[in-house]
Amino acid sequence: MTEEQMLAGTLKNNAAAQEALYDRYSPRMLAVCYRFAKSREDAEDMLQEGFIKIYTQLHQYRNEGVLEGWIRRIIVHTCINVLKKNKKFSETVDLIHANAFHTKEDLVPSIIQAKQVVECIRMLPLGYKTVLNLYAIEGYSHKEIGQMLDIEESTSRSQYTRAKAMLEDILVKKSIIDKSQYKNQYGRINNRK
Amino acid sequence: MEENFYRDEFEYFLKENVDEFKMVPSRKVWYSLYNNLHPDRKWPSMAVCLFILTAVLYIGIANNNSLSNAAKKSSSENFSNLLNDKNIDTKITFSAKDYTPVKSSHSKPFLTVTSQINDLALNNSEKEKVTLNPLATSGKNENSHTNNIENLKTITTIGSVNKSDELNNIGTNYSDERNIKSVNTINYSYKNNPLIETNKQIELPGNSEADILPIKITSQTSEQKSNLLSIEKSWVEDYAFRNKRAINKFKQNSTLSYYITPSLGYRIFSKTNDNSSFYSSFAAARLNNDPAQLIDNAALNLEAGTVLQYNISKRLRLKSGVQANYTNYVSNVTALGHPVLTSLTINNWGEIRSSNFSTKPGKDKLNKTIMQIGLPVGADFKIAGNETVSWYAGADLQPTYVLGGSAYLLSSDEKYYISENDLLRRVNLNTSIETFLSLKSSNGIVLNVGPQFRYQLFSTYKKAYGYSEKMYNVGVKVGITTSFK
Repeated sequence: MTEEQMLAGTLKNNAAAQEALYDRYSPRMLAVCYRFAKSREDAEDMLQEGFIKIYTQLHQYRNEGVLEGWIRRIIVHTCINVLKKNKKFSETVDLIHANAFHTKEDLVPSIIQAKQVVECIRMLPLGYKTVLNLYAIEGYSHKEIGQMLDIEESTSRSQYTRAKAMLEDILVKKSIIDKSQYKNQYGRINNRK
Repeated sequence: MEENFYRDEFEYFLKENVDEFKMVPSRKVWYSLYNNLHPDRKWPSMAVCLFILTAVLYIGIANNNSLSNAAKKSSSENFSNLLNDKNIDTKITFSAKDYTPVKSSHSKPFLTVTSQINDLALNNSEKEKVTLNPLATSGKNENSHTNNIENLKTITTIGSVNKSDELNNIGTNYSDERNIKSVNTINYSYKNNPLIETNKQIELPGNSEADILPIKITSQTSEQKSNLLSIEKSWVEDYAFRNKRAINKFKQNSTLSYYITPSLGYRIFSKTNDNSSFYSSFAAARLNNDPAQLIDNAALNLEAGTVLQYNISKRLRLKSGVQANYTNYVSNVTALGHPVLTSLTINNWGEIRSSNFSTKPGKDKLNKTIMQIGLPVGADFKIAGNETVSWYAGADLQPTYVLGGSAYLLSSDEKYYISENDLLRRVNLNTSIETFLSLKSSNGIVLNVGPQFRYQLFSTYKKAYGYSEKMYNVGVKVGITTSFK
């Protein structure tokens, strides 16, 4: 089923088209939810809520840009709304400090990097990982993040700085990254500010 | 500049890695979505539920009646036939003092069923008072009416009314004692007939003035009486046969037992995955080759439940019911001042977790608990005994569902305990064997006491976890058994 057929069918409330859309995008979107959520079950709840919004708001999609990007934005907003609704985010975003976490470098074997990186991100305090996810991975600016999370732009910046430092520390200690090594590997400048 | 360059690279590194990561959601997410999107398509399942509910209700109601429809129909036909049988004559006399004026538009003789008589004996006491409450006609102290009323079961009022009649001047007495006996007999023999409603008027045959009540049983020939009693007996026997009290075999053979079993619980712990090769392939992993010795202690467990027991022979009975289990044991550990990162082997895959407890034995204790609800199915065999004391041996299988618990899993290097309830196996299977003494009290309640051993057949944790933990309990089962009789 092509993307056009999926879209047309979904708009007509066709169950097969809806399922095809879900099957195509749900694995990647669940990974997005998983980075924000506390557990896999929470992530699946977020995914479900997000897809309901996607199906009900699909008529607003104007074929401008990639469909996956549009879906991803809805999923991310859903995750943020769930976190805010549960009051988890607001309670921890300003309070958790990197010093609260200690790592032991001799315990974690590095396995597959992508999964390890995701798990390390999930180890961060909720406030840190939310800002880091939004800024470094989803591409939102600090101003947008501030609006989404009801915090100051400067707070978002400082949270991100701390989050990044903490994550680097974890990744290095787990031998997942080597600063000099990946500097050579990804030796290009990302111009996003 | 060097720092900025590095930061941008770091973000790129993160994004590239994270975008590669995918997870397959469980199918139930789609089903929930589908139900949300298509609520109208729930009707097939709702229809099935409704059908089942209706069927259950119908069966329940249909089986609640003491008389089957066929029996009712048959009895009703018998009643009509006997009512119209003109070969049987009965004459009844009423006393004026028992008459009560009742206004009615009826111009024909009628019978009023006012109550049902409670004694089934054919030859009931002759002194039993018959409640007669007939209506009278004017100017006739005594009248007779030949009627075929002998099978009118619970009829206690017989009378008639004429539009123009006044209810005066009635002075009839019970002139014939034998006739009254006959009335008694008739009435008593059809007690509790559910086919006859009280306060219902039934018209009697006859239209002429001569047929108008008050009526009197003036005489009966011996042949008539004999005939009457013969038919009466026949009807009663037939009625009794068709409406004999159903013997509830299930209740006769069933008992209900309630029990509680305090016990000591422990575990059999073993490693199911040899992950040494897995770890040796990673240079980064520096495993402790000398894992700490695990020091665990048994703890008090409890189970309680109720079972329905059904005797299939004198010595053997089946049982099934519902049971709640609280199972736990204690690990001696050392609580850490701060959480540490460690790894947990899941599906031969090391996943990062944090831990607050070291396996090094210390003063701290971890309670590893499971709460289950189970459906035991088994049998008891009576080894020996008499009316008051019996000795049984029993066994059962018990599918269980884990409602909750606290799971502390060994880290990959066996140096830490990690709290991970997600790896608890939700459905499990227990088995138990027991032997007990049953002591029957004078009021019919049976006290059961005896030892019980319960064993969990599958590991507490899912297969993904590299260790197996099977719980077992040794305890004393105490319970009571009551019958339905």
